Amino acid sequence: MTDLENVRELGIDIDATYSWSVGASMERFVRGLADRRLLGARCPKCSRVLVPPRKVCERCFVETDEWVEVGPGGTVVSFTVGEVELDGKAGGFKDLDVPVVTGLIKPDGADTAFVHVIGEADPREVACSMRVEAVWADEAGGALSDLRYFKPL
Amino acid sequence: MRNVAIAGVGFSKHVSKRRDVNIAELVYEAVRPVFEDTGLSPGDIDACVTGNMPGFEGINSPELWGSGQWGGLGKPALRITTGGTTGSSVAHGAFYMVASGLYDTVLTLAFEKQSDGDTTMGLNSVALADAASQFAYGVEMLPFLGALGGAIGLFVYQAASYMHKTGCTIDHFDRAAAMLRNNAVRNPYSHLKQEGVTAEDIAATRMISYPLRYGHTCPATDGACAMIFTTEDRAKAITDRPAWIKGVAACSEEPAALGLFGGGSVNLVLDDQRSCTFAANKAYKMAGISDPAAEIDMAEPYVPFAHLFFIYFERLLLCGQGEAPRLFDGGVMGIGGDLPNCPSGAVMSTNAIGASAMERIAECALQIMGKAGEHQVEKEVHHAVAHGLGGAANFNVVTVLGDRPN
Ligand SMILES: [Zn+2]
Repeated sequence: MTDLENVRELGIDIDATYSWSVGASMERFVRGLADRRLLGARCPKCSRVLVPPRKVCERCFVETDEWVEVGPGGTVVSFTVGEVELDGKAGGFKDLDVPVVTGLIKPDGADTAFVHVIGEADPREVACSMRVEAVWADEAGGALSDLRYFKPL
Repeated sequence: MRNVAIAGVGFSKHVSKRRDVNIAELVYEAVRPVFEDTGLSPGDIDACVTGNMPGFEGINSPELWGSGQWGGLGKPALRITTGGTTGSSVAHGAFYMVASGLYDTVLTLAFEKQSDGDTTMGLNSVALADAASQFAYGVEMLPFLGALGGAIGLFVYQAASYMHKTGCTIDHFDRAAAMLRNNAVRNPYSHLKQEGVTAEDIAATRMISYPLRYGHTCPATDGACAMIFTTEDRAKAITDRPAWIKGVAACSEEPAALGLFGGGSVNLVLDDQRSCTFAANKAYKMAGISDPAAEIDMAEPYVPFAHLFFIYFERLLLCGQGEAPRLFDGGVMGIGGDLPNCPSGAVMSTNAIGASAMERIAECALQIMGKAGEHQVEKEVHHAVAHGLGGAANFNVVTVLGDRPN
């Protein structure tokens, strides 16, 4: 019986590679990171500064037309501490050597927030409303990774 | 049931790769002109219906990501995904909403940004079961499926049956393809523009899989289309000449050459497309059309491959069965003909999959409104028929449009 091929299942490996356009606004945001600048787009109608930027203010349905620098300081709106990672087996976890703190960060001058890593931080002391500051890569290459993390002030 | 009108139509540019914008920005390029054209703003919109094939781009729920940027913040958002027919199903969804009285004005958005996607994953959502059977028998399909973006595997069998039955030839496909490519040159929203291409040029392209040549197939396109569906009163306030939805119908049938692993086909007459004729009959009846060949002024069937230009002209009852090649030879189907067929240049020239079937309806609406510009057909259009094809060539959606309400 061991010579029989599997007649019950048809296995097909799917190797998917996507190449998503980040979009005109996000492209400019990423270029700004290369100069260690956090850029937001201001809505001409409600004056909100959107970070990450969008081409259209969803509340006003008008195109954002002004770029403003925000940060590097910011405020933690919410956070979590990751303690495990998947171990590769179904439903299995293994402990992280060092817990990873991520937060929803609202840069100073922005009216929105985005998720990023909070580094150089004791997980027990991270809290909502905590002040943080951007930490940049030594050599910026125009990538999201140019903004390494935010650290507590 | 209330009368429903199309009061505005918008297109983005359609090209093979829009690397400079993301999906939300691409669709916005179709939304902006539809608002400008109608003078409406998001405050006038009661609901949004969107459609694409998320499996192609690998972005789930794009309607929730984008609808705020498309004028849909704080409104109902409904995505409809039915394969190649997606766009026509989106339009029918909007029709149901307005006709039923639940909503007055509905914004429809249909799009695809194929350059973001992965061919294998795209196949996974439309044709993997089909391809899997070929793998199982050791036939490597991916090289040409990759080049053509999907479902040719099934259509070659359909084309060969049709030729056998009717006497239609590959030469007919060459000439139809050349005509469509030239129509596309006159359409500002089309993708493949090959000015002055001849049947001889098409005949010189590579035979991909008998009887279809490379020149008989469609490109993969990034593009979006937007439309406004609204009530009789509102439509008349927006424009003097709206296009009216007169009849809608959809029908599925036995899948052709599909089936996980075995690759069998219960349906042995792949070119029959009975579900198209069934839907067409129903839609014409609803529209009060008893003799479509005489009463329909132009047609936009869903034609991603050249043989379908002939098959669907027949299945939409615009001539007798098997007569389309001869009528085409007589010049009936050109932009200046008695019954223009695919004046837009067809899906063969522009295929942003989720948008394609809605763009057939949008083309009919533009022709009725007299706004088709350089590819406006020469005769006056009082009635038009649009068609969408999906699934394993076993789902057909038919829309009859007119220049007057019911
Ligand atoms: Zn605003």
